[in-house]
Amino acid sequence: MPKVNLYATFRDLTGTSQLQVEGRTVGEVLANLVRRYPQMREELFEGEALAERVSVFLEGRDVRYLEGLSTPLAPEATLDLFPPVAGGGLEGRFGALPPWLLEHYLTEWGGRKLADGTYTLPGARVRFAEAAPLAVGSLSIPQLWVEVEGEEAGAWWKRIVLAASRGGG
Amino acid sequence: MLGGYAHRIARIDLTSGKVEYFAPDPKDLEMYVGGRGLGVKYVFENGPQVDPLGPENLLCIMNGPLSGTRAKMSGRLAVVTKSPLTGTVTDSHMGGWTAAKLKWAGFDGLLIKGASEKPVYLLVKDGEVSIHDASDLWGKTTHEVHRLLQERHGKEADVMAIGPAGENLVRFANWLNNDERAAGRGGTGAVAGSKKLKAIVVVGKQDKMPQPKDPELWKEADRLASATINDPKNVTAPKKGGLSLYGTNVLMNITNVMGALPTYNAQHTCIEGAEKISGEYIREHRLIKDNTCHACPVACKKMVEVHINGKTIRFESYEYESAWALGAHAGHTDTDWTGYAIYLCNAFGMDTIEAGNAIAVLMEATEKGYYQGEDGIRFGDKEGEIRILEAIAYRKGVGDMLAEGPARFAKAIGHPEIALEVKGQSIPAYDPRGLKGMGIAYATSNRGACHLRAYTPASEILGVPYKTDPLAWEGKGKLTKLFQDLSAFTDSLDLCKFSQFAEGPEEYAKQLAAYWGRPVSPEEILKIGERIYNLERYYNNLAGWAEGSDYLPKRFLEEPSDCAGSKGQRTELDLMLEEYYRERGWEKGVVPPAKLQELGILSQAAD
Ligand code: SF4
Repeated sequence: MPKVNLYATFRDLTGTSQLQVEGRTVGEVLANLVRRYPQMREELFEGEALAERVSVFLEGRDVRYLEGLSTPLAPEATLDLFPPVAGGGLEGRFGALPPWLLEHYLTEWGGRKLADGTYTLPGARVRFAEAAPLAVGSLSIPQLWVEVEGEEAGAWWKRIVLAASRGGG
Repeated sequence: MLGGYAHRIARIDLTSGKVEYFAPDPKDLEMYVGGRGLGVKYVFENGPQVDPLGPENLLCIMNGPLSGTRAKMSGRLAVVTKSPLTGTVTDSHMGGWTAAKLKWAGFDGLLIKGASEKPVYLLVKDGEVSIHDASDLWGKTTHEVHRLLQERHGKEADVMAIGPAGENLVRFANWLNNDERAAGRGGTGAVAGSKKLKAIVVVGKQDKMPQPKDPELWKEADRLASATINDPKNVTAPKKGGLSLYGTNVLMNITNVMGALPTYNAQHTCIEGAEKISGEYIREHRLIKDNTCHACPVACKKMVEVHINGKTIRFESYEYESAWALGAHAGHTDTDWTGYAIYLCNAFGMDTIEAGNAIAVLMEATEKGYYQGEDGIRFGDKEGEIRILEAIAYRKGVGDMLAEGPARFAKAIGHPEIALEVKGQSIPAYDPRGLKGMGIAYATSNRGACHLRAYTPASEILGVPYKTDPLAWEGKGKLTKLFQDLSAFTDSLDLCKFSQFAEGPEEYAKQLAAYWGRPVSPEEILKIGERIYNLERYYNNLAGWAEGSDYLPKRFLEEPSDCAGSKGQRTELDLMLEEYYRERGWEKGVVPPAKLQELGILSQAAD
């Protein structure tokens, strides 16, 4: 049965961070999820379509770049569901940035740990969580979901984006 | 004094045989760091109008402030010069131990000018450079030269050599060292050939390793860099990550299913049987050993054995680019013949990417009747391919025309459109119809079509640093600028590009700060990268690559991709160029004086 990881406010809404949901396509899994947690309907759908603001990732790929709600799912598939960020916050996912390294920088920049995956910085709150790695061929690339909220969110976000910059060759 | 350097560079005039030494200007080190950046600065000062194959061209062999230190993946050597293939400034990097030993021998670089009358090689040892007769080595393959010079100077001596292709001024001849690592692109081997320089022998011992100016900061910087490279979830993780296990060729199966693998000279975007030349297949069926470079735990290099006509050939390395160029691009996926072709390019000292493009262009020209000589070959003709590679290296028959580069060949037969080139250099193994970012990266690369100035597949395939849709053009101009600047900086340290799969500006800044002995910020390193990229562009503008020179082959703009994953796609170059120039602050590919001043290039150039 496909696995579903929930992040940020989705966790508050459902009281869980991971669950297993029946379904052979992304659409079926989300419909079954809504059946179990009706409060998620408004978050996930606009009419019959996937809401513009939510991000649904299958093994690290945005399902919008795949086949949307019709994207087929293997029984062992993992979906990551990210809510839109509230109130001028910023969020994104970074590849190849280990969580411990981000924590190191948050501390170095004067941050204070509030709970696992939550730090305060002057004028901002940062939350982060490991998302399902992006799987392509024989490669697997770790993905870190990061959200920054607060008055100084813009400046701190820039700093995190710069620290996360990587390329390759 | 900034740490990390030997503070000694040799100026070698091969015409007069004179060798002089100087300490690099500290201001240049702060502005251009070393490796690629400092080399570009010297090539710029030498003037953009020189004939690349004339004695006046300057050939720079450079390392950087982290070369030969304990910094992870710090084994890269930069060869910087004016390219005989493109007429642009070019830099090409080799792995192994040459860069480290050059530092241990007491040098940050060798600047080679003039031309000798008879063949010579250089011996670099104990802070001195001497010039030696190489008449007995002339005509020999790279592998033979490595063996003979190591017999003469000891197994510990590092040898980088050119092969027959460099001697015969094949415009895409390269340098190969005794670990079979090539400074592949741009024809730097032909520049050496024009100077009658056959090899450089470097003798240096580790006890001369420079120490960091700030040992405490170094401990911290090295701990972080090592931990992220070794993080079991990163692709760099030794014996776990995909890069370590399969090498660069882990990409073959991926780009093939994305419709992003140019095949049959990019008339198609995938090929049946790609698996047979993929990293996974090679690991299972042909791998002998995982090899590495100085201070690198990743060990992405693959030593393999292939079997041809009852003979076994052992060589390194079955890279993605080489396997594509000499296999899929030429219309076949034969594991052994592709390997043999790679081995021969190494022996002759030729860039596998450009050689593969030369083969593919000849194949298309033959099939379409554009070339009607008896020595024409068709797609999939593996034995013919081997014949032509030899003909190129020794400039025989059609090989003589192809040795000028696929772009010049296609023009000479009246069909420039079949050459897949930008500024005279041919494309590597990514089709920009299936990976749009590669389109803008190829077009705006300062050394001609290239995947290593800005590796957009990091984002488009691997989600590093963030995932983008491979088929969307939006945002690719911005991404390309970031990658170009970051890579211009790491190429100057000189660290392996693959370090970027685990490290970012924070880690690089810390390591450099510990060696330099003064604070370095992530913003500063991107600024340095931007400065280098703009200086290269300014050089190119002065050398004649001005407005309109950031183009793509017509095929990618007009002929839709025919494979699943990218079917029907073309490259939206104009839209991406607009975004890119806006990000750069350039006017149609030309750096305006205000930008040169902002980056401190113009006032410095006038000094
Ligand atoms: S990752 Fe590969 S190419 Fe880079 S330094 Fe290590 S072994 Fe050499």
